[in-house]
Amino acid sequence: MRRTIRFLLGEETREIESSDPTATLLDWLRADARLTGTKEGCAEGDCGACTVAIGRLSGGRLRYEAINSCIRLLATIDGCHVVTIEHLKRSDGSLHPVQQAMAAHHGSQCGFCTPGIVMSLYALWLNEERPDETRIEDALAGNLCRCTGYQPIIAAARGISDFGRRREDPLIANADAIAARLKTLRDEETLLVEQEERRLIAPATVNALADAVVKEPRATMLAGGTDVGLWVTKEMRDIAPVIYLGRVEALKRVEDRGDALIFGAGANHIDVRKALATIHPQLDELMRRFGGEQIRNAGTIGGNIANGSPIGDLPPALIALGATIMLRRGAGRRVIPLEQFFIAYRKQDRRAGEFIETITVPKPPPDALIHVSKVSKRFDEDISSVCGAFLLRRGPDGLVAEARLAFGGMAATPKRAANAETILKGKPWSEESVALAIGCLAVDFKPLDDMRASARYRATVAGNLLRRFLMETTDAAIATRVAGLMRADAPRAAHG
Amino acid sequence: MSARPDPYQFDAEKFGVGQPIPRKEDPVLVRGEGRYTDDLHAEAQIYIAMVRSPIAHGRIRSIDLEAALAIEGVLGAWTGADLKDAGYGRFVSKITFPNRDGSPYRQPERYPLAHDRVRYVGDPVAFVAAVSANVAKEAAEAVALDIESLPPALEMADAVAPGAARLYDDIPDNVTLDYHHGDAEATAAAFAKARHVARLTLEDSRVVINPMELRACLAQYDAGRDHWTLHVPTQGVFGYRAQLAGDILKVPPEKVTILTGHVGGSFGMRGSVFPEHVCALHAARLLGLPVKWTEERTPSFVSDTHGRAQRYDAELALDEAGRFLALRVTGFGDMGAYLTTVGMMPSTRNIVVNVCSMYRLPQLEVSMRCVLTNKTPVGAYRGAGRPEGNYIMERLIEEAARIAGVDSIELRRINQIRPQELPYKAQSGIVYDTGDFTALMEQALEAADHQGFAQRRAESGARGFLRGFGVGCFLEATAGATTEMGGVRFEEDGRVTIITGTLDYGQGHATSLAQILSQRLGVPFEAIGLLQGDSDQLIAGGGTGGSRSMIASGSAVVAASDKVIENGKKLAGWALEVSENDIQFRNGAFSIVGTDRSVGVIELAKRVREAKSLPDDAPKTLDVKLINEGPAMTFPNGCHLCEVEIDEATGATQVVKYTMVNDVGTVINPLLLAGQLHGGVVQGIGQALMERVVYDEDGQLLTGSFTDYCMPRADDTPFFEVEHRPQPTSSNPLGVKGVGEAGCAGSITSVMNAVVDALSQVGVTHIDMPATPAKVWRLLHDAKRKAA
Repeated sequence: MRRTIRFLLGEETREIESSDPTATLLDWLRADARLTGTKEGCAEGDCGACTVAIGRLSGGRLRYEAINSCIRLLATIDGCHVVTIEHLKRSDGSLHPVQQAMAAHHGSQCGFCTPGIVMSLYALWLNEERPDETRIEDALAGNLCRCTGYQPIIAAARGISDFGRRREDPLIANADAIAARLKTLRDEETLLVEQEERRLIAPATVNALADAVVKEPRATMLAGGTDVGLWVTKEMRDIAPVIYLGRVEALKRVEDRGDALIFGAGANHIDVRKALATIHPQLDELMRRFGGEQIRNAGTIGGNIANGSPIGDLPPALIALGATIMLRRGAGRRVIPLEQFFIAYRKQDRRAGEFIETITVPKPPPDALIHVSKVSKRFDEDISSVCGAFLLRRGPDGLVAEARLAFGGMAATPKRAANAETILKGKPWSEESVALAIGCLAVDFKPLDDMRASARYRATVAGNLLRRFLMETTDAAIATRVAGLMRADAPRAAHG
Repeated sequence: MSARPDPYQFDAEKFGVGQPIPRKEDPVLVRGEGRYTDDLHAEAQIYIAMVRSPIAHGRIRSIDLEAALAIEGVLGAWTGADLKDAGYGRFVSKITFPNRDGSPYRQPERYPLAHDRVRYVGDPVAFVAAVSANVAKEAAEAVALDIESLPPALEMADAVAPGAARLYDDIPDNVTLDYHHGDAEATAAAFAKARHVARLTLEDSRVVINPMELRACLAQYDAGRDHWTLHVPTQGVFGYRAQLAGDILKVPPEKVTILTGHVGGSFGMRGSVFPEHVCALHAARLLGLPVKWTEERTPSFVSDTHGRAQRYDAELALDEAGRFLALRVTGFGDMGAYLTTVGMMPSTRNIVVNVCSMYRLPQLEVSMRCVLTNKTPVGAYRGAGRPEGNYIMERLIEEAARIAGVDSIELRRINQIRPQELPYKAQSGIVYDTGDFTALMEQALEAADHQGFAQRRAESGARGFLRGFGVGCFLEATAGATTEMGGVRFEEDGRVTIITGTLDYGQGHATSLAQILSQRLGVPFEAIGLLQGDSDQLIAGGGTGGSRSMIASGSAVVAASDKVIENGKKLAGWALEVSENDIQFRNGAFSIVGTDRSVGVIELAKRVREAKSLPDDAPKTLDVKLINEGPAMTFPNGCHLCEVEIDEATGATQVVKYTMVNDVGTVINPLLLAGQLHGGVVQGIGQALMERVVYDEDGQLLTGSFTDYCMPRADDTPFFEVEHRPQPTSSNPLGVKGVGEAGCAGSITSVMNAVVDALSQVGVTHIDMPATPAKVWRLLHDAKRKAA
């Protein structure tokens, strides 16, 4: 058992003996390390003023990602490299290329959002020397600026490489040395952060994790923290004891088994997106719209499922694809279809001592029809009003042999439309059949009225998504999407 | 390693007025070295957290602090009654207009905290001090409020109706000011003889200002000196100190020091004292420790001031030739629950002076009632009445063109004041000095390829999009004359400091003012610094606001430079041992006419500083501190042309083309100018298309986070074509006209006119801001149903 949090902060190795187990990285940076360049703008991962880059070893490779430090717990950066705006300082006093580009294009006015924007652009540039417009907009979707109108920032993002070469950046040039230092910080010991009986336990291996969960069955399970972080900053909930899953490397794996994709529960949305994109481009599109880049870097597939939110966006897609999850308790394991995991509002079939270990997503046969739609008030950084994900197979007779119709935002849990599925079976994939299925949705779902959408709106949208599915799969010429990758010429202001 | 030269290596000749110099501010800000208030840390500082009303309207029965005080680490807790008893003064409106009947307007009573009634969700009622921010927050949660709920008055029209809930017992109709301007009879007569009358009911929607830096302060009290020091983001420390010392603390101004470091945006919001600042000062005095307060985003949505929030019936009368005869505006300004310092200005006088815009208008009548509602108080927001006034006029022109069946651009041509008519006295009583409005509009139409619009509309239509073209001509009256300090201080290290009382919160004053001084005094641009945020250093200061900074501080720097040269000639005469009459000043040096003997201005300052004795009749320093009488208001104007595409299937609107030509007078720095315009335009696009404030029937704000309140993000903003057509004014020595608010005036007008133009293809003739997809879709849907 190790009781010291160890990480690299810029070029220094930091070891923190005892601390509040639920202190955020942002508070620690500003109050303890007195690195005040990183700002708090909202404390919920929406505005990006708190963005820092986190380096971590991933499959032996050093990888840097922009994250929101406001909702990231300090204890969870154990073994990582924390790079803040202060660390872009160069020994000769000159500005970093990202900073030069921002100044040359007048990308800063009041300067408050600037450190976060510089760090978002820096993380982007570390991964892509010449990002295109879409990548830039995606990388900035999680950053708000009230002064500049963004165009100068986008121009700066395009022009970073005019001011320096990426391979000369210290983090790239010294990647091996940094990786070696991070390796020395890694161990198999469980990290325990404890203060006045409030504790956070961060095991490094799956077995240790399994033991810890059995021992602390009531602990809050923490992965990316993109929701749990808000329980701390917004709801002031005491989430201790906490078990953090992020140190377990094995949980982050993404494996292509040929017939299926196997995800460790801790795989982040960036890695999951890459893998799911190979199944269908609409899955790629769906995941592009998970929060901002910072949220996608932090959030995990397991967290999106285990959280149990009725409007989590991955469960409908995974249910439609027939995903199963493996739950583990101690040495015991059980596998259940994902849809069975969701019992009632925020109540999941996770028994005391259990955790999700892996998610298996079978690859659909080539003739399967697939559709995924996220409908929200705006394209970026928004929560679904309705999310629909469908898989349909036709038999040799051309009639529907299998239909899996999953929805989010239509019930207290992500849920399949059982009646609609049944009625489609054995029928032609036609307008008439879809009309029948839509009729069944009224039996399958009693959606809620709330501030995101009215019940009537949700019900109408759900039916229309089935219509859209039919149109897209029967006539490629019909334009059905008004936003995102599907139509480059269309506005992206709203809807999906 | 740079592929390009470092942007900070400049040729010395390129520092003057008109040069696109990257900002002096940036090396600090892009490194994250800006020092905003929450970045400050005083030894042994403690923290306060606010307790706010959870309901929109109610009577306070009791506030129980016991549980909060019992929490370990809590150092004190106070209620509104405590602050009132401690003798702090009231927040008062500084507006001076009377009611239309000549009686004084009603000043609702507001002490630092609510003590008897709560009047909006978020109204501060108590606060707690503790050793850490988290303990303070926890303790604030533990304060038990017993508030008897009262029915709220939420909508302006309802609040003035008989029987409406009253916010204040002594204000029976919830109206603080019944404002009137103009000749009602003459206006009515003009309408009576009109050939066409355009009528619109318009709403200028309430917006959450949302600067990225949250409100904060750090208060200190020195008992030995009986002196207060407050670090706080402001728009000018001098005026802030006057209000805090004079109205609230009731002490002489020298008992208070206001320090403002970097400010993370303001847009009008930080112009005056907020209740939380008084709380921090109170705790600092009682506990003898430095007190930090930093707001969080969730409460900031209700506790910052909001902007705009006006509603009008607007009418424009035209004769048979399309000439404007009269304009009548009758409406309300929503004040929220309390009057802010200038909260009544945007919906009253600033409508009058801006609604006339660039057009000949023989008669004007404006009747506005400032209404109290149980919502967050409204203050200044980028333009503070300027975009609102222009919005009324530009929307009416389009409506007039529609009903008269004429081209709206032609209508503008007919009515625009011509250069030969200048100076022109508008119905507001204000005299315009410069401008070439029609030529500017023609330049914009050319730049925007107006000719090609029909084809672009057809192409959009083929893709299922309704394309609209919107004209937004505007003319703003910037802030009126205020005195401003012009200070130039020669430092021992050879640097030169400009001291003035406006305040930068993103505009780039350190750069633009240095360009002016560098040009005037010939001192190196890099050697010039700027001091604005220390009230002890100021002898005057009007603060930033109303697009006045370059007009006021720029002119003050010019005056101070002239004084440096005047004094410098005397001192150079001494230094070079000749008569001052033989001294000339050129290129940064004082020289003897006809010789090569000279002394540089910085060198001269050093020699004066180090001199053992100076002639009795010579100035004792080259430093200058003067108060410059404020130059007159100016009239920045422009024409913004916006094209939108509306998706018929969803109602989603996107700005697809945006062209602007502006006359902001002399351009000091085109890079900074473009930045001000871009930012203003996007704030306007936000208001026009996205930002929507929604209260429920109990007065709870439903759109209280960045998830639910839609701010423009990187992919929402168009590419801009920007051109300038400067007509420098002679009302100030630089010829500048102010630009900070122009972007909003151009964008809410042109964007909304474009939306209406697009919708007119299906017969829709009106929509209010914000034109959200849902609202647009509903209109499209209803129009189609009606047509079917």
